[in-house]
Amino acid sequence: MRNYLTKIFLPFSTIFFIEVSLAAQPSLSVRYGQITGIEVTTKESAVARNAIIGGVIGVAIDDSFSGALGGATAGFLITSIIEGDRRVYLYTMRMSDGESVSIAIERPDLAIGHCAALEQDGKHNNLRPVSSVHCERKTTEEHQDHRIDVALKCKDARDRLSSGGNAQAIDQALHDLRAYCD
Amino acid sequence: MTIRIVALLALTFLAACTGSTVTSVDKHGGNVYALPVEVVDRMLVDAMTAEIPSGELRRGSTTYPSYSGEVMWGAIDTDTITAAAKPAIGRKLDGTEVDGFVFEVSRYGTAPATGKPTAKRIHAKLQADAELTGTGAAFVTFK
Repeated sequence: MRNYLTKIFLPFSTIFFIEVSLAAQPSLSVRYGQITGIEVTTKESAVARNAIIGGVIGVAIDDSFSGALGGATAGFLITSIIEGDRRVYLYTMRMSDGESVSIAIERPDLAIGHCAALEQDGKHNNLRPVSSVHCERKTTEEHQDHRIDVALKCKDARDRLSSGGNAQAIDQALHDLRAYCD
Repeated sequence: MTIRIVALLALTFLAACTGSTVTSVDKHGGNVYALPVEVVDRMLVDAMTAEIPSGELRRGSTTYPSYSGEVMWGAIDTDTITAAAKPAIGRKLDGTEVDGFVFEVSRYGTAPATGKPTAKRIHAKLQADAELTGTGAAFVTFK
């Protein structure tokens, strides 16, 4: 729990931004890439192929697997996935540095050629469509800060919802969730 | 004669009543959302008030959160829309089970032309919000 809180609040400190700028080991990273391939598949298949598991599928993975979705755990995950899972979309992205990344996620609304932001903070992986400007030229520090800010606000809204509260607080968290997580 | 006409109309009315349910869980599986009960309650209110005025919403008599309201088609035909968050058990990929909720929206009445798309929109909104929370786990069973 303490580690979890640290993950949430540390990014708000000045130290975090220094760490981000130095690209040491940021708590949350945002990378941009163009969608180059889409495949409708199953979670089992996506895990077997070492794809990054995002969205609802990703957070369904327990803390013990955080940051370890690679080959070493894949075998275990395949055997522990329950039957009757829904289909997922396996997106292949060409990142701005030329690397090719695969991410499995349940959202079906991305198409080949779309520019997308891949947000990762160890446990959580999220893929969301963004303006093509992020894929056309090297992202400026200002743009990067903006995306990280949005991703952090999304995470904050999720955390507030998980802890409940009164109607007003929940309504505000839901509002923020739609604004920053979609 | 009047009685016959009334009986015929009543029979026609009853025969025209239909019902259907939109749910996020079917034979292919689905997601359970591990959220606090007060959160799913607000999500239901929010989704319902997007289609039905809040003053016309009624809290359901179920033990779990649910709300009902009416939509009309023309001057006579009415559909009752009910949105509910049913307690369920989900399973994470590592096999551990979590308590959560499954969203269901049902309609019943004589105005399917209005009721069906309304129920679908309400469910779509609930589902979209639920997905954003990132709390989903694969459906196992209802509690």
